This record gives sequence, structure tokens and C-alpha cells, in this order.
Amino acid sequence: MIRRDSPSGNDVLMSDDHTSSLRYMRRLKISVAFFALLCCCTVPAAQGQEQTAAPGMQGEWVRVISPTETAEIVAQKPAFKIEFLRPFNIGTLVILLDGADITQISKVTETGIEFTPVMVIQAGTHTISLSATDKEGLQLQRNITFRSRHTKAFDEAYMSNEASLVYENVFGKPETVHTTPHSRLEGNLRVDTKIRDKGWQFTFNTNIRYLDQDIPVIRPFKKGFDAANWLFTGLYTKESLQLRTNIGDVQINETPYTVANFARKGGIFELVYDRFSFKAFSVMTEQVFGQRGGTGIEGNTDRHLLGVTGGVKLFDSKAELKAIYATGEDTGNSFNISGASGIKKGDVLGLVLNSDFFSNKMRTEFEADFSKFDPDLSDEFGSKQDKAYKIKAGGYLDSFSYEAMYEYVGRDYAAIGSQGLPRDREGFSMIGGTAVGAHAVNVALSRFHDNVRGDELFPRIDSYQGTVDYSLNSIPNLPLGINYQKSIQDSTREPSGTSPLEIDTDTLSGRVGYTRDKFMINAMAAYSLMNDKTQGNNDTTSVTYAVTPAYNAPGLSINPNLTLNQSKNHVSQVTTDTYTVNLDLRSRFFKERVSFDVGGTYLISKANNGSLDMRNLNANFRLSYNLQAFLKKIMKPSIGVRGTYIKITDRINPIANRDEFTLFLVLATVMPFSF
Amino acid sequence: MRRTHILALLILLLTVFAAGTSQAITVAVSPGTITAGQSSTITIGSTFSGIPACTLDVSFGDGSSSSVGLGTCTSIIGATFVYSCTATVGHTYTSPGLKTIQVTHNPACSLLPAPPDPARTALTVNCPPLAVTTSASLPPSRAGEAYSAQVQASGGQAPYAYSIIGGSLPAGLSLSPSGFISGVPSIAGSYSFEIRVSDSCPAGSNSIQQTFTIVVSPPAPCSPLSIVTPSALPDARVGNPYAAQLQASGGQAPYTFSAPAEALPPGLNITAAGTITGMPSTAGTYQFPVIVADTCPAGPQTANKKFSIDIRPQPSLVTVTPVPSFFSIPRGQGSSAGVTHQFTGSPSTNDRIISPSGSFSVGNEIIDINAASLSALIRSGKGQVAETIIIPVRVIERALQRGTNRFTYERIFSDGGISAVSIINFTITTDAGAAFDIKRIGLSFDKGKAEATVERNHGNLRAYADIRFTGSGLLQGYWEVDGRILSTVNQHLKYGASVILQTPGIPPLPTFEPGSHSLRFVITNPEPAMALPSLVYFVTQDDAAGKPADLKLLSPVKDAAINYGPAYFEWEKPEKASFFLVQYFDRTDAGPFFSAYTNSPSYAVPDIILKKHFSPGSKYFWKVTGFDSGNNLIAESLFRDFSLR
Repeated sequence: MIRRDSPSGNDVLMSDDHTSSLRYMRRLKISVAFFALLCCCTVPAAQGQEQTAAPGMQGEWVRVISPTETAEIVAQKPAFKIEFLRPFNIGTLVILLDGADITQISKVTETGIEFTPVMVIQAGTHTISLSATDKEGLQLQRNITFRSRHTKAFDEAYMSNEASLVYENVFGKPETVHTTPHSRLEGNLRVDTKIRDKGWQFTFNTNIRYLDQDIPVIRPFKKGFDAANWLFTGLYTKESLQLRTNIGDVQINETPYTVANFARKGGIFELVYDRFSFKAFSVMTEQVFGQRGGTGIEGNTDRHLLGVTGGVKLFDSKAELKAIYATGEDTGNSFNISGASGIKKGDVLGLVLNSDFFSNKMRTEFEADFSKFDPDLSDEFGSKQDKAYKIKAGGYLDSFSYEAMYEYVGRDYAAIGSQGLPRDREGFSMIGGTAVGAHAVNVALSRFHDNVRGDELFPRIDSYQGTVDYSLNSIPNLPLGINYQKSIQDSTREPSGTSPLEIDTDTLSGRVGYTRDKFMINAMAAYSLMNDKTQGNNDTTSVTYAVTPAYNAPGLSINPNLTLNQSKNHVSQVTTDTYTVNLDLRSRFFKERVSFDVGGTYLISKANNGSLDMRNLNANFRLSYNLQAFLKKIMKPSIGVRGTYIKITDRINPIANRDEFTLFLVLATVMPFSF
Repeated sequence: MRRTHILALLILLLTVFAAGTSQAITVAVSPGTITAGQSSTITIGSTFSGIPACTLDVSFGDGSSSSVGLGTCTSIIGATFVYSCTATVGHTYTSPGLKTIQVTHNPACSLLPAPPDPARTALTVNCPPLAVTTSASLPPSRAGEAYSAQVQASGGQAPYAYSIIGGSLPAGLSLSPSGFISGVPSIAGSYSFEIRVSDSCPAGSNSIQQTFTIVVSPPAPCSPLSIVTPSALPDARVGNPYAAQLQASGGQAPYTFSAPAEALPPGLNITAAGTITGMPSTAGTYQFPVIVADTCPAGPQTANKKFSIDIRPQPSLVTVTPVPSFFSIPRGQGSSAGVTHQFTGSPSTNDRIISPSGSFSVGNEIIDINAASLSALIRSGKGQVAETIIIPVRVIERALQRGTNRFTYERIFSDGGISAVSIINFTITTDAGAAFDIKRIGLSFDKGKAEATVERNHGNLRAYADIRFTGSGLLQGYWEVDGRILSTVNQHLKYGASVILQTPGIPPLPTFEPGSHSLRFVITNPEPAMALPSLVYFVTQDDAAGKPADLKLLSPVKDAAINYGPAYFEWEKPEKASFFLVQYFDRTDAGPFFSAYTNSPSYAVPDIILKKHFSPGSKYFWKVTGFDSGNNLIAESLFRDFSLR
């Protein structure tokens, strides 16, 4: 496990992964993404206009046969054909399409060039740039600009759908199992629609869900049809103006002190004009599953969060000033969030100034926020006002990265859109890191205290933390790393009758990995001691060992995982050991017609005082046969069996024992269809 | 009337002749006897020597009077200057009795009449005839039911007096002197009796008789009699005074309760009114029958019912100890505290004790009430009950408002005899100083979403748990999908802040089964008082593109410094790769500034591109992606850095 402190002071726990960026894309998404890169290099020009040759050209050397330079081409993959008019050094020819070199994938002969894009080209203006040198060494250059659109009516229009259906019927199950239905039918229709023409663009994405089974379903599931998620986006772009509307499952992410990572049902309206930006939003504060609450847009704060933001970019976009205001009411509980009960209501106003005058060498961030928050509307106490500040500077200097931050969050500071934010803290943190050759070192230091108002009824608790992380990559395919963190928590100014607090925590972890071809193995060990230095002496220790070998090849993927977690309470002298063995196996046979997948966990938990002795085995498997060959490409059906097995042996509490195996017949299919 | 006048004149003449020249007032009334309400005519004669200016005052004898003129005056023949006057006046008498009519001269008369003056006469006014107005058939009655009837008379002179002069009233009824018959008849039958009515006429009492009949029907049957008090009487305790009232319904009150004395618990007895009273002396469970009898006129009824009563032994001392008895909670937010109330008493104590509510207090002042009831069963002196105390924000704020960071939570357990008090102490502190507790759990997929739809065998599905906590301690829990434990978590958390945990890469979230799946992060320590949230993800039947294989870069090596021109890049060719995309970056977190497509596993940057996009001495990154003939991504390399000399 790698631990990294985020700028807001939160710990972020990330798992090891040897591939730092892993992406899985569908065909259409690949084409849009990759050719969007091509389009970023497009040089806007009048439709169908040729650009004059660069200085040095001596007469025409190529003639464009297609695309027709005066017409707009209606095609998703417009082919182009160019004829050479005179000889030149073929080896020096470079062909760029929207700035990307396609020379090697074009068909180049002595007489000309033919090229048909292998993927769909985004509608719009494109430029083919040809450059070469002639026999005399003179530079030859020619640019051809053309415009393409996918349909006659619209620049781009498509509707991509995929219907997925799964039917399960129980072969056999224990009579004691009452939560598993005898039969279950579930389906999903994914719809992706896009229409784009000139400056306008509309997209609509949704997943329509269907569920039926012979026993009642548990929240948040419900029977029948439902829109699991949907999003409508309208976009208009013209020169410096951009208007965007998002309605449906939207996300608002401003700052950690105002609205952070707030994904809900509602609407966002954005306007960007030149350096200025404006946004208004209205979303439900409750996270709902399925279609409930309409669009989620309301003009009042009753169970909603309303807000506006306004920003302006200054100094050639090297600085940005932004104001954020949000007001709303929330119960604090949704199907994916559990918190304190009581209806909360609050307003927050934030002012942010970001700058980057030195090209990433030093970025600065200043933020001031003011909140008014009532944690429970039902009592006689009203809302309380408070403030939060942040000053941060950071950047990259050659191979060195750094960041320093001062943060103040008031005692009563809270925001509806960011309810996980820790408050009543003040302090600073510094992070620095460098990579020299195969060595990389990162150091983080922080010091915070609470009771920022110095209330005499409460103690002040100072928290210090230092982290050092070292990585070594000198041995190929064998990355090594070690991490040490020291935390000190110490209370002062304790009021009479309040026990002091003094806790030191030391955490040491090491990691090593090895990758060879399709095989990979990672090992990790971590030791953590929380030393309670008060009279209570409530020390705890946690030790974790994890080994994760993996084999990934086309048609076979095996990912086992072995973990030992040991925790010890030094007061009671109780040690609890938890051994966990996981297996994730995926395999394809017979030209991928047969698939066999297994996922299982075997867990042993024991305590040395006899209070816990449990074994838990839980496994799922699926064996299916792909029937697509029989139905051509209309749909992709499969037939198979699925099984779930759970065995719990609790030697302390035998009443919790279970031994249940359930077998299902599974019929599934998927039908993609597009327009 | 004419005859009257003639007669009056004759009388006058005779009087005058007989008297010679005498002067007098005479008064006569006709008729001399009338009935109240009738009129009578009064004739007044007077003699004067001359014709005076004079009026005569008439008193009618019933309290009224009048002044009349002399009437017609004529001279008397043979008498000089002697005149005889005659006047008449009528008067209606309304009250019976003997009336004396008197006439005298008015003192203002100019001449005085001859005596007698005044003159008087008598009139008898009789009462109207007496009659009984009540029907001879009086309203019927029913034995056993209250009855009343009024006999009325008219005429004569009230008051009337009623008496029975023949026959007899039904047994149970009586006649008052005012004619009111009342009582409760007890025997059915038809009864005739004669009643005399006498009035109070001043002229002489009159009376009249009439025979009446009353029919008395047999009594109506009574509704069924029953004892309505529940069979299980309230518990009693040895040595404590006891009282329980039994109730009956139906039949006819009054009721009489009884029970066999040997069946009642020792020390208790039952009154006729149905009160079980006394001081029980022996513990145990007792059952006994109770009989009730009514007074139904149709015939007495009885009913019986079996009752039970638990007599508890003498209370013994029970103590309660809350575990734990002290909590540190953070300010500014609601909290919950799990506590077990452990009871200890003498081994003979077997009881159920109840606490109807708990109270939060600062000193002796109650600042909030928890209305949830709690009960505990004590067996052989031992018992316990668990409670999750919810401390709302208002309790914390009210304590702080009173200038203190401490308050108590108190529960009083009792069963009427035993009383035990459980007190838990709370200290309000900061987030970092509070007990290790989970305050908020938020689960999400990428971009904060609570729902995800992915293809089958999607290998990059990640979920996050945003946990807000107070205090410091060892967090223990596990990720669970559809009830299957995926991986366990053991991590020390510090400072009362927040932490974001992520599902592990291996094992990944299972995506080989199409359909809906539910994901949770279950925290086992500290055990949260709130319900655990969940996420939902749906796996479609369509397979995700396989994980791209690693594409190995050959040259230049990592961090190599290569010549400014030509710049040659080489990599391994994976199986099935049809073409490649090589990309160049200024930074790994930015998009590429130049791309190139190649068919072969190598690429030489053309000079024209080198001069346009690359600068000597700068550091760059490159990356290669491989595609198959179907344009599917099948291999991808890592970023590798290089610089140009």
C-alpha cells in the first residue's frame, strides 16, 4: 500500500499498480479520443481552401484528387488521394493529418499518395500537410484543408445502443437460503446519443435498467424499469463563447472547502466567454438510486444545493480569480452515505485566486471561505458562522517537486457540499520530492492543532506528522520501496477533569515487485504501532503482510492474493490474526467460446483469547458457452451455469455457521445496435 | 233591569211617604249571590233637602271603590224642597267570599244626606265549580321501575287537597296531598282507587271524587351480568398494602361481590363492593374465583370469573453498572454511544425492571429526555441490557451554553419495588480528543458516483470509502461484494480527521458475473452506530476490451540523452499488433504535443518535425500504443523520458 498525503491533509490510500495509467476503451471511444488529438492540431482555415506553399516552393508539385477542396465531405472516414506532379525525394516525404504523422500508414507510390483513415474522423475542419525536398534540396510544402461531416443534416450524429439481458434460474439451493430468488431477470439498455452541427452539440447518455424476481428486492434495488443513470449535455461554442448545460447525473467539484466531488442528480449551466466564466447549479443533496425526484433541479434549498460560481482569468490565463457561493439543505443520509441524523442547512462563500506565472515552477493558490451552518434544524440553536483559509505554493524545479501549505479551518466551519471536511484545525504542511536516476525520495511534514479559538472548555491537541518515502528502480522489473511515517499527538491546556492525550504512531512499510512478461509478483509488509503514552496505555499494533502474484495472458488471467493482518491490543493482550486468501481467475477456451471465471475468498480469523475463531469461505464461479457463432452478429448470447458457495464455521458462535451452495442456470445476451 | 228600577222607585216613595220629610242613603245589590267572575248591580238611593252638588263614595267590599253621582233626583210630593236621588253602579267580583258594600257621601258634598250615612249591604260571591282534569286511566307502569303521575283539578279555589277514599294504590306507590303519585311499583297488576279533591273556597270548601286506574306490567328482564375486570390483576408485593377494584357490568346494580376465603391469597380479602384489599404475606402466583350478584327485579343474576395475582417477594437490593461509564464525544455534531447496563442483585432476585426514559443532565438540571423505554430481565440476580444512546447536537450545545463541557445520562430502572440508577458521564471535547468513532461513511465510484455500469471483465473498477472519524485508533473492516469478503483493512487512523480508502487492485472488484452487484465497506472496529451504506454496480453481458499487454520500449533507454537529429525510437512488436501510435509529451500529466502512426515497431522523427516541436536540451516523454487489425488497443507502454542534446 502506498500512503500519500493529499493537500487537504487527508490520507489517501492507493493500491500498488505497476501500470501508472491503464485504460480500457470501446472502438468508438478510441476513435473519438485519438482523433480528438488530431483535431487539436488542426489549423482552422476557410472551408476547402488551399494554403499557399511555404517559401522556397518552385511551382506545384502535387495535385489533390480528393478530397474535393471546395465541397464539404459527408463521410466518417474520408479518403484522400494526391498525385505527384514532379519527381522529388520520396524518402523525405512527411504527411501530417491534423498534425499527426501518417506517412508510414499511407500508401505512397512514385505517382502519388492514397490514404483512408482506419478510424472515424471527427467532423470538422482538417488539414493535410505535405512536406518533402526535391532533387535540388529545396523544401517542398503543401497544405490542404477540407471539411468533413458525418451526415448531411449534422456534422456528427449517432446513436449507439447496447441491450444486455441476463436470466437466472436456480438449479438447486439450500432451504435455509431465503434471500436468493428462484428466478431473476435483469436487463440494461445503454444509450449513447450525440448530435453535433457547427457550434451546437447535444449528447444524451443513459442506462435503463430492468429487474424482476420472484421475491422482494432489497433497497436500493426495485423491480420494473428504472433509469439507473442519465445525463443530457447541451453545448454551444462560437469563438470565445461557450455555453454548456448538463442535466441528470452531474458532478460539481469546486474546492474541498465549498463543494467537493459532489455527484448528484440535478443541473449545471455554464457560460465561458473569453476570460470570464460563470456557472449555476441546482442538485439534490440526497443521492438517489434510479429515477426519483425528477431532474433534480429546484429553485429552493429544500433538500437541494443551489450555487453559482464566477471566475475570470488574468494575465494571459496565468492567474484565475474565482468566487463560489452555495446554499442548501441536507439530511446527511443517502443510500451510499451514512452520517449523523438531523436536517442540516448551510451557506458557503469561497474566494479563490490561483496563479502560475512561472510555468509550473511555482503555482500559488489562495482561498478564503465563509460558512454559515446549522447541523440540526430541529433544535433551538440556529446556524453558526465561521471561516476557512488556505495558502498554498508548489511546483516543479527540474527533478524536484515541492509544495507548502498553510490551512485554517474554523471550529464551526462546514459546508453542505463538503461534509467530510475536517474542521477546527490550523497548521501547515510541506511536501518535497525528487527523482535522481533510479532513486526517488518524497518527504512530507505537517503540524496542525485543533481548538483554534482557544476555548478553555477544551484542550488543544497538537499533531505532528513526518513521512519519508523512498523508491528504487535501478534493477529492471524489480521496483523497491520503503515508507516510514511518524505521528505525534499531544494535548495541552487540558481543562480540569479532562484526561491528557499523548499518542505516538510509527508506521513502517516496504514494498517490492517483480515483473517478467506475463508474470508479476508484488509483496508488501507494513508494521504500525500506536503508542498511547497516557496512563491508559491503550497501545495497539497492526502488522500486515501481503503477497500478490499475478499471471495475465490472453485467455488466462490468474490473480491470487495472500494477506495476513495481525492486530494486537496491548492492554488486553489480545492478538487477532486474519489470514485472507483471494483468487481471481478468468480463462477463455476454444477460441474464446468457453469462458470460466472464478472469484473466491478464504478467510481465517482467530483471537488468542478464544473470543474469535472463524473460517469463512465464499466463492463464485461462472462457466458459459458463447453462442454468437450461431447467430452471426445480431446478438451475443451465451448459456452457462453460475454457482455461489458460502461456508462459515464459527467455533465460538456455532449458530452463525453456514454451508450453502447455490447453482444457477444463466442465459445472457447482449445486442449492440447503432444508428 | 226595568223591574229593578220600578221597584227601587216604589221603595223610595214608600220610604218618603212613610218617613214624611226624612233624608237617607240606601243601598241594595242585585243579585245578592253571585259566582266569582260575575257582575252585580248596586242601587244607591239618597235623600236630600235640596239638590246638592254631591257624589257618593262606593266601597265594593273587595278592596276596590268608586265615586258615583247622585243619579236622578226627583222632588218628593208633599215635601217641600226634598229630593230623592237614585243612582246605580255595576261591579264584577273576581274573588269569592262575603263582600260588604258601603256607600257614603263624599266629604265635598254641599249638603249632607239624611242618615243612615254610610249605608251598607252584603253580597255573597261563590267559587267556580270544582273539577278533576286528569284522565281516569293513569299512564301504565312497570314493576321495578320508578313511576310518577300528577292528578290535577281545576275550578274551585286552590290549593287543592287530594286523598284516597277508596281502593288502593299499587304497592310501592303513594299519593301526596298535592296529588303527586310516585314510587317504584313492585307487583304487577291493575289497580283502581278513588281520589277525593277538596278545594279552599272561602265561601265554603267544595270537593269532588274520581276513580283512577294504574296498570303495572311485570318487570323487564335485565342484561346479562358479567365481571369486566381483566383476569390478571396487578402484581402485589409481600408486605405492601394492596387494593384492586373489580367492576361488573350488566344486570341491575347494586352488585354484591364475594369469593371463597380459602382461595384468596393470604392477607387479602374482598368486600361486597368488589374491592380486593389487604397486605399479602406470602409470595407466589394465586388463582381464585370471584362471584358477583345483582338486584335485577326480574330475578337476581350471578356471574363468576377466575382471577390471578402475582405476589412478588420482598424487594432485594439491585445495583446497575453501565459499561462503559464514560465517553468523550466531539462538539458540534451528534454522537452515539453504545453502553450495556449490567445488573447485580441477590441470587433470589428474579424480576423484570423497566426504565421508561433516560435523561441528560447538567448538574441537577435536566437538559433533554430520551423517551425510549428499556427493560431488563434479572434472573438469579444477574441481568443486562444494551442501549445505543443517541446524543443529538442540541444536548451538547445546551451543556456548553451552561458553561460546562460535561453532562450525564441517567436511567432509573424500577418495578415498583426495586429501584436502580445507571449514570453515564460524557465529556465534550474536540474531534481529535474524542473517542475513536466513525461519524460519516460515504461510498462512491470514480467521480463521486454511487452507481456504475461496466462491461463484463472490466478490470479497472474502483470504489472509495470516505470516512470521517473522531479520535485515534485502529480501523478494522473489510470490503464486501454481494456478501463475499473481498479484502480486509487494518489501519491506524489519527487526529480525528478523514481518510479515503480504496478497493484493492488485486483482487479487483468482481465483474465476471453480469447483473447487479452490491458493494459495502463493513467496519468492525470501531463499530459504527449508523447503518452501513452501499454502492450498486451493474455488469453488462458485453465483454470489456482485454487488458492491454505491456509494450516494451527498446530504445532510447530511460533518461537517455539522444542526438538532436535523427531521433530514432524503437520498441518490441506484440503479437497481433497491426499498427502503432507513438506520442510525445512535455509532461506525463498533459496531452501529447505530437503523435505519429507507424506500421513497424520503430519511428524516426523527421527533421521537419524535430525542428518544429523539439528543442535541444529539453526533456520529453514518449509512449507507444499498439492496435490490432480491428483497431482494438492491445498493448500499451509506460511513459519513458529522454532528452535531446
